[in-house]
Amino acid sequence: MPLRPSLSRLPPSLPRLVALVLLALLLLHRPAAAHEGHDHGAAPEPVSTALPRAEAHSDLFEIVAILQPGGALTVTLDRYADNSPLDGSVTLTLDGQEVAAERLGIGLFVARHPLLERPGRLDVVFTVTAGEDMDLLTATLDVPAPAAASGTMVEALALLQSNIVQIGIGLGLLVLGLLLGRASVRRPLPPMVEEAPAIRPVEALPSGKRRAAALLLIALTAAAPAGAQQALVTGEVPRRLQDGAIFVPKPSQRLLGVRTLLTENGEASAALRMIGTLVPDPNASGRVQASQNGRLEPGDAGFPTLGQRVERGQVLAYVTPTYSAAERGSLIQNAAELDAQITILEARVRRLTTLRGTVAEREIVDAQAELAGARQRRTAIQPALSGREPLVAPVTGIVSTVRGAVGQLVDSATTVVEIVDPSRLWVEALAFDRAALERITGANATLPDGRVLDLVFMGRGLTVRQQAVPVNFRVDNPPPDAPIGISVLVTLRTARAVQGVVLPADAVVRSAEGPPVVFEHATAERFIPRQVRVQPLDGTRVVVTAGLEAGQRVVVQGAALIAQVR
Amino acid sequence: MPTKRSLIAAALLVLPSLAMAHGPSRGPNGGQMQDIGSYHGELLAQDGRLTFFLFDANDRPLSASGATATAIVLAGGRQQTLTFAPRPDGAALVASGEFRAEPSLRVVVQLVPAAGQPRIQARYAPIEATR
Repeated sequence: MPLRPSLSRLPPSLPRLVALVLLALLLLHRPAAAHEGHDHGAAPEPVSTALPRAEAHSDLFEIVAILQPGGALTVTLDRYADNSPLDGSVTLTLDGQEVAAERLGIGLFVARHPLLERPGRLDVVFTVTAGEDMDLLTATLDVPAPAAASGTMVEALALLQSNIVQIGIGLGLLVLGLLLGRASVRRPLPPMVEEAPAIRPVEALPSGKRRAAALLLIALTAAAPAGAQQALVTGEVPRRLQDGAIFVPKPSQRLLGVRTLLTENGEASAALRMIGTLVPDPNASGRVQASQNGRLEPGDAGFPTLGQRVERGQVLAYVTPTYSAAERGSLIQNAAELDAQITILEARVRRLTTLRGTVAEREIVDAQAELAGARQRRTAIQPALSGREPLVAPVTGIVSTVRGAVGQLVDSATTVVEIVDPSRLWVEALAFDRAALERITGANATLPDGRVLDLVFMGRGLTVRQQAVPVNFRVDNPPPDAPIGISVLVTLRTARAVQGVVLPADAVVRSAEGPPVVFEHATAERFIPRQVRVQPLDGTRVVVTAGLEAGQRVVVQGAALIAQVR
Repeated sequence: MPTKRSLIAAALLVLPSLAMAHGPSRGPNGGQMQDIGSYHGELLAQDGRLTFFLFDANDRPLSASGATATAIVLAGGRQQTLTFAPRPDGAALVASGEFRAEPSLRVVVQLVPAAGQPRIQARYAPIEATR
């Protein structure tokens, strides 16, 4: 019983009375806090309707002990700094008696001892061994008085509140039955014999109901521990408390994978964000276009398909020219004329060569040149007449688009196939802050799916486009499935330095009220939203310039899940 | 009397917050200072010897006579329980055992300040790691 030294001199009965009053005050105080929104400053108040629990931490370990309704003490052991479960062993010292906790899983133990069922304050010393590290941790557990012979005091109160109508009806019926029974006994015997059987059913009915009400009470009190037994370890739900903090029981933290980080002040270079587009490297991409109107025909290896790898110079398709009747007519006429000319020239060359020595050598050479020219003209006209134009891959890469089908008529300058080398991609972005471009120290791009690509600054245009300067970056090691043409968020690191706490971007969530918040892991199961001012650092990290101090534990994983707790 | 009683009640209700309000610090005797119940306690650890000084909430020294205490000592991977005895001058409690004063030393002092009072406890890491 908690007493101050001054009271030890008082008569023994008075301190006991005071202690009883205080105990009652302490016990009654907790449900009151839940319904009226009491708060005692920054001190972590025990969460009402939660199971009795104790927590302790050192620089290395964080331990939470939850007293289950059955009298079993569930102990969770986590690393203090990052909240990850820690394997090891835990021994409890209760009133000088050592109790080894049974290991249930990584960082989860359970201990049973008769002292855990005795109501009152219980000092617990945890001896924690995890690998090389050992530590002693202390905590005080308030074992609640067994209210209504079952469950905890708080549970019984909650039960009373939730079932007040049923219990009220039961009690009312009980009282009614008692009154009726008493009234019937006290009454002198009725003069008429016929009335006696009339009374008996009336009496019997309430007594039956009375029994039913009593049974109901017993059933209700018995049901409380049964319901709580199912709630072993994971029965409690996370919830937002009156003071804005969020209570997340340790088992729920395990489920949500909540991880924290001890904040450190650091220096980071300021960053600038802009929107860019993923484009192919102009030197490693190309288009395949027909130079004349014609009909598409498949290449030697078939018509190109999406995702197909093609080599430079590979024939992807042919275009068979289509001509009007007049065009075809003039072409055929030209060919016929050339053919006739070639025949004449051939005959002339033969004749002159047989007369070699008598005719001038110059004449022979001229005739041969004339024949060669005519043949060349004939060869040149041949593809237009009957041949087809091969469409050749200009670069090595992957077929990225195919516009066209076999047999389709295409106009000249139609892009039939686009080829992209996925290992060589660029990002084209528009920078509105021209001054910042002078001091670029690095850049990266965030894809819509969250992946981050490193960028290398290539150059900037001088002509302003949409009031902004176009900037080109080369993507370092692009992923093979990078979606070309997609918008990316480009983060430029500049030489300007900012002071603050560097956190992963996931740690910062947008609160319902608007400003960005991070969740401070204030005590083992309590998370406090802290409003912060953040600046982007790169795709994955931010720097908190205000709102956080060094040495606080901040949730870096699972913050979005904690933010959803209502 | 009612005022005293309510004062005590108030003290008890804010006690948990007080416990969280102070961090460890160095005491006047060179040991580590911790809150223990509503008191402050200073633990000085030397090789094989623990000395415990008791102070009130305003850091005024209190006599240790009449107080009984035990220490759970974790040193070198071994846990032992030592019993404190009052020092002859009554100003402190001393306990001796087999341990070395290393940074990994952890001590939990469980103290009954006076007969009939509830037991209170505090955890000490009395030797600071040299950085």
